[in-house]
Amino acid sequence: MVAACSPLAQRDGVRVDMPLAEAKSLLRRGSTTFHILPHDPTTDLYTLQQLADRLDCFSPLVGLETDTDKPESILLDIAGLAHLFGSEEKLAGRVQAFCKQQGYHPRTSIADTVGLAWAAVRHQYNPAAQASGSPAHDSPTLENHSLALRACTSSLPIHALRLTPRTLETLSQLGIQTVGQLMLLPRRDLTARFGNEITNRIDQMSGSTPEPIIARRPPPEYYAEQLLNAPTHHRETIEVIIARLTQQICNELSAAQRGALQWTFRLFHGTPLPIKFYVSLFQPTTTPEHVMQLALMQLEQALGQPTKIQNRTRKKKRSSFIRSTNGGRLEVNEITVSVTSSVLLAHRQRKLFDENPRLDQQALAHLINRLSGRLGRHHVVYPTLNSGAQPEYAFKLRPLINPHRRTPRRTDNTRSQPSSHVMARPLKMFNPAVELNAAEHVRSTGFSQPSAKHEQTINSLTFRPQNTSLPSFQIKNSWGPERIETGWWRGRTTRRDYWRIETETGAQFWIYRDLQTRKWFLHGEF
Amino acid sequence: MSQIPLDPFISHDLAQYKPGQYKPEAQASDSPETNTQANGLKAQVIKKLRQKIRRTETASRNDDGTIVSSGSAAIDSLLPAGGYQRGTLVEWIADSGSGADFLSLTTARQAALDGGALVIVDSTEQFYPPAAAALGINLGNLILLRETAGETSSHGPSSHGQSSQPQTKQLDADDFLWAIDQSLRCPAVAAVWGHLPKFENSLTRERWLRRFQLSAESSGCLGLFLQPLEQFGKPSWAETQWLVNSSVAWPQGSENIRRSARHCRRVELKLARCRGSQIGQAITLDINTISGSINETPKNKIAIDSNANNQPANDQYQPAHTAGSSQSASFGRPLRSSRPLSVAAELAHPAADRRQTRA
Repeated sequence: MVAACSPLAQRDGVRVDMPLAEAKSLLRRGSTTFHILPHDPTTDLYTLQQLADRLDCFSPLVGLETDTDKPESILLDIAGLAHLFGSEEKLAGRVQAFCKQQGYHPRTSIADTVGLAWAAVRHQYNPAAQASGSPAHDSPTLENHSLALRACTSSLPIHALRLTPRTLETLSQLGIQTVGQLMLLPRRDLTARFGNEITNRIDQMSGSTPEPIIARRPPPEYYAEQLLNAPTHHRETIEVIIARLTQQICNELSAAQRGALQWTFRLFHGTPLPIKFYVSLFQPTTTPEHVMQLALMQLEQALGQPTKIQNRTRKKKRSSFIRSTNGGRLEVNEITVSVTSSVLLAHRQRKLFDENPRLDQQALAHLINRLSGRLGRHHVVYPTLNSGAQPEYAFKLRPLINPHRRTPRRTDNTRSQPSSHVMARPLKMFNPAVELNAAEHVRSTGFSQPSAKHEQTINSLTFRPQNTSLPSFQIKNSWGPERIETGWWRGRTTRRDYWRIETETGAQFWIYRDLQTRKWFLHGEF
Repeated sequence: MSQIPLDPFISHDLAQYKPGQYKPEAQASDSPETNTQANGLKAQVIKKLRQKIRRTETASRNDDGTIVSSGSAAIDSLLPAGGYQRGTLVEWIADSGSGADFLSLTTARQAALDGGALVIVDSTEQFYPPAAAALGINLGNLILLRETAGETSSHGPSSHGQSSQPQTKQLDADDFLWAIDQSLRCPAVAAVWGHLPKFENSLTRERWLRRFQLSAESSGCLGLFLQPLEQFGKPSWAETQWLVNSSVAWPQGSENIRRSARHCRRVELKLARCRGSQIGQAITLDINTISGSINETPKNKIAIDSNANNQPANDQYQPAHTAGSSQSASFGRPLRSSRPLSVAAELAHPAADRRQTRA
């Protein structure tokens, strides 16, 4: 189904909720090129929330519309703010310009009530056109603007009332098209027929029922900074300041019962680009010691202790000056520490007699933090299985530390599956596969029609891997072939015949023959 | 053995057991009953002494006394404790494709059964997780360390800024060795499995391996390492060292083999080094490739097969692909290189090893 479409597509006849195939045929008939993207409501909502959070520079009270599952509007309370921006129109203009800067083209409208503003935005209400009947004003002010809106309320279609689709359908069956027609009906009858919905919406639009904007609460910011009157180049001083700032944030975090997942440290040293390093954690923490341990490791990397000789004499070097990468002296004048990602802490009661130390999740989390700190978080991964037939794509690796992860590590597709054949796949797989040079007679026989018969025929063949570190081998026994034909969506179809083979020494390898190129490859070791 | 009289308990036992006391008796009376009785007592005392020596030697080891099975009763029976002790290192010396990966990962699976994490140090990037899952390893508590970065996630703007730095980082052997050491030191890790990366020289090798041993002892973590055949005979800090050699399970030409026999692969294991057990013990194992069960090959079957292969029996432990290597010649005894060993390397050889060399 079509979830949204551009005005250009609408001109070609595409409508929302139209089947995709129909929309495609309509668009093909038109001459313009078109793009169809899958609908992702979660990302839409996330982006809208992000935009709402950024718009808080215009109003202290920013919220999304609340009574639908799929909010599409951002509401700003601008009561008493107009004079700060000159006028309401100027404020609206600034908001428009701000959004355009971010790549959005919003419609804005200012009205007394949320309902009226919503209706005006949705139904392209143009005050000038609507107010043409009333005496013209040279400069439209708030009063005449909202008066004009009120005046045109009755001419608005019923879709402007934020009613449920079912109510809208019933109303259109009754022949009611505009809000004005609806308002002519007695309220008591409307309540009896539709419940409170319609009267409530009308009241919200007119302002007789208040409708508060529910403000989005931005995630609390944990931030600490230290300005240095006298710039320093002493590593020890920097470490002490970082430790103090970390301690300060940890106190705030534990007061709020939150744990930090990602920390950002910045050292400003005069140039516009500060030295920046991150500490990402596997489990949220409020313990400054853990963070400091990792932060010092990162600090060392960021400030550069590149050679091993320096590493060995680190204790002596510790008190030495820090230097920039090009050898110049660094003068740090400002240090900031902030938490870029934090979550609520889950408290777990410690067992008094925890007899199995291997279930100590805390110790494991520290290990993962340390490993990721030094090796980089993309090198400390966990595998998940994919249901792909092609061996190379049968698993996926994900970093264990993900500062944006809100849910714990998924274990649904990491469980070991009771396999019917333990050695169906080798424990060691070469990526890419090593090409094998077949002996002369193999090439001459050709295997034009690979079949089960080759179980016998591939025995006693000799291969020499192109990678010289591997010895050449002769096949003594073989199991197979297992044909894998897949991956047409990745471009060229992969067609391979796999054999598990045993060599004259008893070593077992996994080899395959590419059915397209007729080449042999060594793919794994058992 | 000079340490033993220092321990009052052991010296007490020694006082009880006087070899001379039994020897003449056994010689005097030829009745088998008294002979076996004396032997039984001797074995008991030796066992007791061995336990005490172990207790004093491993006082610093932080293991909870649990034994990790190797996944096969036949292999366990060769080990003095009936399995691997936590807080120790185990090495498999093997050539490519010989089945050592399977045997060592089976042990890793057993070690992680009680919920501990399993760290896979994959410096060569050849570890294949789906095969490990088929083996029964829970991928849910696996930590994989590799050179190539995992999937890059694109969540929000801040992760971009962060990922730029670590992604470009190239890991070297030192990083992996450091990671192995850190993982071995963590009590929540059940086992660390990996092919050891190449060492710069023998000095760094000794230093790192000794460090691994101490780290494993301090946490009770099991270190499972695979090494290429060139490493055979070099000083080792492992409690147990296996030499793995694959052999052809059913010789070509014997067509009347049962279908079930087709699903087995044969691996020969030799105890190259083990504290508290006699080294040089060998075992031939049949691994069922369907179920993954590891069983000892019946003795009579080996004889038939080796006859059919026309292979001399003493050639069984010739490691494959070591043409020109003089090490394979004296397989039963770890070779000492002519180069003088460092003190650390000497320490790596426990008394049992030296006894064997003398014998």
